[in-house]
Amino acid sequence: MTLTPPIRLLGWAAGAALLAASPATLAQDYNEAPSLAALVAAGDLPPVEERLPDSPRVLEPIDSIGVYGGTWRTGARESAETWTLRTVGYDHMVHWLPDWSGVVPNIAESVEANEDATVYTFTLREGMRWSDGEPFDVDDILFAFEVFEHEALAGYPNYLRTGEGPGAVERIDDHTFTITFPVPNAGLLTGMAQVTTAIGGDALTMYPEHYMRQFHEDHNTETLDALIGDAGVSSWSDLFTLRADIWLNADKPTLNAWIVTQPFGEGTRVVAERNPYYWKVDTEGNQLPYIDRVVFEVVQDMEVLLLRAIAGEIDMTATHITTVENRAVLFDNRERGDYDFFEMSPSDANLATYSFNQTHRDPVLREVLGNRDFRAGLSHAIDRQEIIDLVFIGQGTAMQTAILPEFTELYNEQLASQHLDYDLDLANELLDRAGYAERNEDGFRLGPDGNPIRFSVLTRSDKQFMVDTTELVVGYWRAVGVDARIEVAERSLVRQRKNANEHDVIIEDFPGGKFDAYLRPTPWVPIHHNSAYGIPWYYWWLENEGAEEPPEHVRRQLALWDEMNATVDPDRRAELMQEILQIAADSFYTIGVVVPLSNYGIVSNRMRNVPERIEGSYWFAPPGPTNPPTYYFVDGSQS
Amino acid sequence: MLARYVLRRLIYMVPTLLAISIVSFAIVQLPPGDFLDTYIATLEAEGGDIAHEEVEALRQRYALDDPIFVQYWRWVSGIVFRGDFGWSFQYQRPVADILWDRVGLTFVISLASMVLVYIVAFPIGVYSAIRKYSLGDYVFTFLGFLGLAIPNFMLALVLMYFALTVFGQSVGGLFSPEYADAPWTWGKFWNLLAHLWIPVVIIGTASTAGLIRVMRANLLDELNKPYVETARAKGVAEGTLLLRYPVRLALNPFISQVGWELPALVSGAAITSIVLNLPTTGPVLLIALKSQDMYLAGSFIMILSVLTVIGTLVSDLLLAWLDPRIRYG
Repeated sequence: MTLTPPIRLLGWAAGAALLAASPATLAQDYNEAPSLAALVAAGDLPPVEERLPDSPRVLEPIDSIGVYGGTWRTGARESAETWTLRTVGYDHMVHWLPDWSGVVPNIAESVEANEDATVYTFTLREGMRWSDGEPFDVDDILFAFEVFEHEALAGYPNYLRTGEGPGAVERIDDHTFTITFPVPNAGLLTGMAQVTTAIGGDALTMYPEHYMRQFHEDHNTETLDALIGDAGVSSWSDLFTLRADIWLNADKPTLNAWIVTQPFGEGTRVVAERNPYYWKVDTEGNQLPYIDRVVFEVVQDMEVLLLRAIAGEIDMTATHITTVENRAVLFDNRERGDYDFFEMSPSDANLATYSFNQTHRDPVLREVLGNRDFRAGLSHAIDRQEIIDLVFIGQGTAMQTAILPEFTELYNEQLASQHLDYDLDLANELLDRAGYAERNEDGFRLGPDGNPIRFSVLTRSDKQFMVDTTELVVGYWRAVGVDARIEVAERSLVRQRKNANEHDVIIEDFPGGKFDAYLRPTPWVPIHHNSAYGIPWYYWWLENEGAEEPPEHVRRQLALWDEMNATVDPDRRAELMQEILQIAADSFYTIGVVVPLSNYGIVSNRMRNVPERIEGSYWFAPPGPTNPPTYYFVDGSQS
Repeated sequence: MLARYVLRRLIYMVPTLLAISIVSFAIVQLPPGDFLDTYIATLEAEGGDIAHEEVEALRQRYALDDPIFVQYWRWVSGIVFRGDFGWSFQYQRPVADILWDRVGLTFVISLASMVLVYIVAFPIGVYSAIRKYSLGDYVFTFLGFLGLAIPNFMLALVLMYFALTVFGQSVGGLFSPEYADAPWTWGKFWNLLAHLWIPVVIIGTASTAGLIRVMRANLLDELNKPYVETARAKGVAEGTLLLRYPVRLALNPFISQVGWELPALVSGAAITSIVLNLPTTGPVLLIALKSQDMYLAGSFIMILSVLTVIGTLVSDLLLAWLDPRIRYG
């Protein structure tokens, strides 16, 4: 296999890890689940050697080699669900390494990039098959690009786009293809490793050409109308979307470890069964997955799941019910439910960040909110320990919105800890120095126009801790003579007002404390619709309506961000990112309050190979990268 | 005459339903933002995100930027000409699929609780009227109001907790896990009954009190009327007398209520269903409204409205049949 230096650098992974993706040995000694062996004996299924590719991906279980059998019971929501995608659905072209230190080829046997990240060469596993036994090869990839290209369908996933247009695919042979970009695109592999609900990291490998072509107007002119009529949809593109979704269509072949046999909408459960053609084995040649079946209980009210967990009817979950509020009740019932906790290591850069609109439409508020001493003073006025004790039950650390200390390659001491102390004298001194020393008869400071400084803190209503925190914060700010008020609104209204630049101050929580800083450094540079300190700056970068040219230091940041996305050398990327963060530290766009201590998931005491600590960031798609196909039950089956 | 009356009523329905369709479609769109805003907010709630370009692609695919009357026409013409209720953004499949999947069980639960309510409320209502201000009247009235006052979701949670802690019964849903996907057998049917009583009792307790009071009040009105005394003077037995005349008249308000029961059969008890995790239609409407999934919500409201209009007609006809004093106008 080929592995040139640039890809190693590009993947931010140890070369050894990438190389390990391709086992050389293992010959013919494969084992399979008893249920599949029975099918083979009956002649209903080809032998396991023929079902596996020539070089299956080999996974090393973290505890021990497992035994076959059992049902993994967990939960799911009816819509906007990602837990299903992160457990059963996480088989992309490349994966995050389990410790989130980089990416590793998964469906691809190897990936190679040229020096400037414009040409990527993917090699697929020869002999790999879809779950219906049909071969998986470059034809499927070419078909996926056809789907992206068609205007009536989903469009290109974000990681295949560049400012100069999308990447182009080219077939080299049946198992090799290249993607060529008009300009460097360093984010391709990290984009493919992620889970998103719309057009996800699996976009390249989710359209089995032999099955999906019957739903495509360019490939089926004869029976397509009949298919549309039978499905009761109004257009072929709706039909195509519907049939391409394994969670709604049990007939679609997949590359996942489990095939969804009972999709959403049929009863209150979603069931996925072992894929006999799954293309991974453990280090002893046992075909994965170990667990026969995954069952998602689809609920509308999470209390139902909580009761099930307490009754021992949930084998593993790290979402929906594993909240701060439920921690005590789940902890108390560990024995009864026969489960234990594992750690979900958070990557939040902050749970409560106050973004001050420095591009406010009102020139007076723009001047006030844009005054750095003013923001620094308000930051010193916040009693963070009291908020942590009252709102977060002690489960937090006072910090500004910043990279977490454990992510040393980007950690910036000033960004994390400036203006952090609760010090009313200093707060008042800074506010005086900001130019707002004069007060009216009510004790409120007067702004540059001679009127009291007054602004509202827009707070979304669906996160109670934000409402609670803001109520306290507004009190602290009023205590130093600033007439701040809380304004609670429905979350989509908050979003709309933010997008229209009609807000004063907004509270948000932000990811980005670890590796995700490279993906979404929203609180430090305006590259996202949540960069509420400078929405028009973001529009300027996007060349969108409502734009306003940002000041010099912000333009510098945006240029650095663009440069970073075209850079493959990880050291250089870190340098560029550090400069962005240093400018953010000097500018102090936002006031942060608290980062969480840790989150948790629950796992049955009979389940093995689940790590004790999993990266908890949404961007990591937990627990997908920790290889759920290697999870198993000690007793093989279950009660 | 009857046929002409029915025909006229049916013709009146057309403009009524047209108006309802416009209003319901507009109301769903009233809150700020659109489905994608809610969708993004939901993703962000768990730390997720979606790229700007993908939002734009989705907006284009769902045609959310079209003027509202264009969207309305697309929806209404689909229903009228093709029986196509549109596409649910939230569930990513046709609206009709989502609703039909759930209508069956919704009917079972609603009908069962309606029957329960009638069986309980009728005798108690009659008893309370003829034994006015007796101990029994007070006890039943108290229990009835208690049932009315306890919020359904609260009762549901408490019953579920006891089902789990005392009986060790698997909670939520209508079947135990081993039967959930099994084909229909007597065992499965029995399992359904074992789970069904919880929602039926919860939904039933809430409406029993109301019916008891209505029955009681109606009957009290009738009991003092001269025809009752006449009948009694003529020596009609007390039981026969009661059932043949005053109770029959007291039924009138119930019959006019049938019009309201029909949509309730389909809409189900949303909150109870959500808490108990029942696969009924009620929660779908709530979710659709919350997420501004406009074709789903609009179609749902439309179907409820059609049922209400039809239900009103049916109850008018029933009433005329039951009470000869009422004439077709």
